[in-house]
Amino acid sequence: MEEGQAITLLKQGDLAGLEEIVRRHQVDVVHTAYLIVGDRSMAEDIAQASFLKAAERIHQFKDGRPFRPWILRIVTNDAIKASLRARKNLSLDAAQELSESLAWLRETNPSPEELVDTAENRRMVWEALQQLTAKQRAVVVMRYFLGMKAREISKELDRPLSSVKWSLHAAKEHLRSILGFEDVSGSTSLSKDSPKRDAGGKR
Amino acid sequence: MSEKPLNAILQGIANEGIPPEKVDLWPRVRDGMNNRRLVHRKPLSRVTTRVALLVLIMLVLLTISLTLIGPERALAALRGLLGYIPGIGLVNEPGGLRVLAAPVTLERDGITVTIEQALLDSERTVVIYQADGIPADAYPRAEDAPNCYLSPQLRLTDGSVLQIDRGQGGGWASGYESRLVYPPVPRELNEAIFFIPCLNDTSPGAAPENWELALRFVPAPPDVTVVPVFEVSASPEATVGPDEERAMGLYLERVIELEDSYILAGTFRQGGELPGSMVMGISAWPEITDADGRSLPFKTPSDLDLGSEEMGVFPWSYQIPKGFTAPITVTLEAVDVEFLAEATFQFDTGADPEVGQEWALNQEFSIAGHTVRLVSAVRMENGYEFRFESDPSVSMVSVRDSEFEPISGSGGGYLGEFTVGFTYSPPVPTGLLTYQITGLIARHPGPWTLTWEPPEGGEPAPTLAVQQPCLTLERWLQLIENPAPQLVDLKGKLIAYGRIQDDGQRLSPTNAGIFVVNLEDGSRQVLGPGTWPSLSPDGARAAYGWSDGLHIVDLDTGENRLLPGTTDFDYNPRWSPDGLQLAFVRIDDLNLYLVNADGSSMQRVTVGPEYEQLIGWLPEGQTLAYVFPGPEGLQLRFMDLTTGVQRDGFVIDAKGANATISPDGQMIAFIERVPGGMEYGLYVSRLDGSERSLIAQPEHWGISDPVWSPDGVWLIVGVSDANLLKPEVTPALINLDTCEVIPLEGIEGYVQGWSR
Repeated sequence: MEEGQAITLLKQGDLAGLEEIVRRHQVDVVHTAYLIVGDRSMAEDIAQASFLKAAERIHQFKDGRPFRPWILRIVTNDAIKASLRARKNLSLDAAQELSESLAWLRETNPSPEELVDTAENRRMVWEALQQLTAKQRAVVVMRYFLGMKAREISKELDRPLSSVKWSLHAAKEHLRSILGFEDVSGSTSLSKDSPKRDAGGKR
Repeated sequence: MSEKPLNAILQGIANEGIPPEKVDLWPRVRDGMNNRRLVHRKPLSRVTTRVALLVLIMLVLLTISLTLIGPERALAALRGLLGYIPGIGLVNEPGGLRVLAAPVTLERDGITVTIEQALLDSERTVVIYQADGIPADAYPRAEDAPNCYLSPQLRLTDGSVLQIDRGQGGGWASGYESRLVYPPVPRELNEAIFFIPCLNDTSPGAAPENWELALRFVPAPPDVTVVPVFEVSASPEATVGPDEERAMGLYLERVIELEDSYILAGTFRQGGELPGSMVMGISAWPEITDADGRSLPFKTPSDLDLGSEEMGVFPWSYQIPKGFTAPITVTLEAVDVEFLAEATFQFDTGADPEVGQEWALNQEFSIAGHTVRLVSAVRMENGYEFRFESDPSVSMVSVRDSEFEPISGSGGGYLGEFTVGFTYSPPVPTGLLTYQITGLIARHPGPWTLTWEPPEGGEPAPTLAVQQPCLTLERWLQLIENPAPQLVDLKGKLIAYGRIQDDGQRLSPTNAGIFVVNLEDGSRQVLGPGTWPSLSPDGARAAYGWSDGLHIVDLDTGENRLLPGTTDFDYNPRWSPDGLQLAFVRIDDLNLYLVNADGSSMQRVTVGPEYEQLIGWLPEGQTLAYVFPGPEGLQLRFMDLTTGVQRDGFVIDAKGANATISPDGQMIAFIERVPGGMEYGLYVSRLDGSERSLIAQPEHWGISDPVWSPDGVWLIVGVSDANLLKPEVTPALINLDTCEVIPLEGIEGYVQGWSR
């Protein structure tokens, strides 16, 4: 069944259409939620709720448009809300809300040349992700997991482009700091020293 | 950080956390749907969360339209022409409209539900209802806790039940207001029951349920006025472009003239152009200019209920204030178009490819005039990813594997460089694999323009003041590249968060903190690490937040003490005008608190689930100004601390609170999205949102943290470069009387307060 056909069926109230849509997008949806909320059970709940919400609002979905960005937008926003409600990193997040541009103060280091996908690096990135705010995680997930452009993220999160760029910059800087990348004469290296914390505190 | 490896790592993390082969959400989703169907609800939209002011404004506009607009226009609608009622929307009833005979109210357990308005025509039924007095504990605290999502029904006397087609609304702490649109009620039926299964978003059983309000409909009285809607095709006064009906472009279809503005409504149509392709949507906001070349502000009305089921047709509507120099031109720069493609590529993975293995493919495809190059393929943990390059107008290609059915696909990247990936259930297919390129998405440039001139004969409107802001990016760049001596005589102290160590390094949290600048002698007093600084009104003390709580430091003695009872969750302390109290935000429960400056008598001043963000005090010392987020933006609210009475200001179109009250309490400076764009500007208005002026708009550069001078003449705002390589911020000093702009080059950081 084509996706457009599935959407048409769902608009007619046929659950076969919804089943097709769920099966097509469930992995991306639940993975997106998981990377933002960091909890499998919560991610599955959010993914379920997102599909229900999409079904509820399917008449708002315009035929001919790609469905994937729409459902990923729903799950991303729901995951951010769930993270906020779970009180994770609220201090950072609230501070960010109030004066995002202050964090332009974060240092810009050269990028590491390579970060190989190994189990150890996954663990370190995962731990680093948990130290980001929910919205920073969402921006990282949207940019690097979902492959969205900064301008698209800006539109989806309804935040100014400069804010999204800052979030990406800040998140990358934070990840880089925690992962132990050091700028040494223009070259980069990967250290497994203990994570460095942001001296900016809540701000 | 290299993006591709990070993508692989994130994919690996997600796969480890929730293996794709174990994802099976369908039974849960199906059960969820079935549970909802048990309550006989069609899968229609629920009214989204709420902001009261928007709807209240609509009601005010409705009242105005009913009373002030001339009777000749009202008669037009009552004679059967298409009409418009602000807040209600378009109406069309050759036989006359019906309305609610009288507002209906029902009170249960202290909660009042009122049907304010209903309007019935041959095409739909619009009901506006309000619920108020809902206690805060009726709402769930946890995001994933169950809450009411069921929409009200109209139960007709013939036994049929109408479900909503669409809805919108806004809310406040104790209630909400909704505008619901139902299918038409048959003309012979003049009574109905408005059935509310549960109040929006409340927890099950936490508030009275199953409300039934009896409605009676009567013919609209003669004094009900409706603004006429001019169908442009039948309106010789309007000029429409483009000329050919089937050409791709902007089409103006309806014009509504209101007291102070016009609403233009129409469609973007693909027409017969670009055969084999499909327009996917309008890529950006249009620009609307008048004959003098001025860029006009515009809004998008939310009550027109525009929608199109037609492929390649995208409705739009823009509300433009009167006072422009006709004609006006609407310009749309680009649309995203998907072109169909038929191309195939193959690559041989070999018998046992390794994760991370890459194959250089270097195949070129010509699709719809675009050249796309398949650069490489990479073996991922559970699939393959293909990297493409193209000309810079292409954003994506659609790729299909019809032989081995992937469980998911992914894609992303930039214009001109993007990836497409597939994930398979194990085992991942190997050997000679074949993929089809079925489509290409590219930005199709216009521009498309539409020119319109209002009909002659109307009342002349005062010239629209399209204000040039004091600070533009062009002017700012000139000022910071050619700094002039600072000649103004400034007094008082500034407190800022910024550089406190001259370590030769770029500004960063490691060398930033709080400092005070004496404007009269230029001296600096560094207070050390900290965030969210605030100066007491007499300039003698500073409060700030840090990881152990809120601190107060005496600027003369340097004595620094932690306010007892405050924690890491407390931030943004703001001094009361008498310097005796501090208001602050506690993000542990998302509420505002008060504490005496000696640390005594801490009290919570707001309740409920809203995330209140503090703006500051009014100068009389008993009212707090704050905002909380809603679907339309940030609702400005004022709370009298002695009586607890709250009153609403206006809605700020922004996501984060970035506002401050003037020293005389009459004005507010705030950062808000510039109408029709994504960038932000600094505005000043009265507390009710009137007399709004755009003060600064440095295009895509960052702007934040407005601060008033004690005499209310100057504003300081932080202006930051959008270039990631230049993260510095420079405060801009703006004279509100003369529009003079002065970069405060000596202060590297964000000014947070200015005291005498």
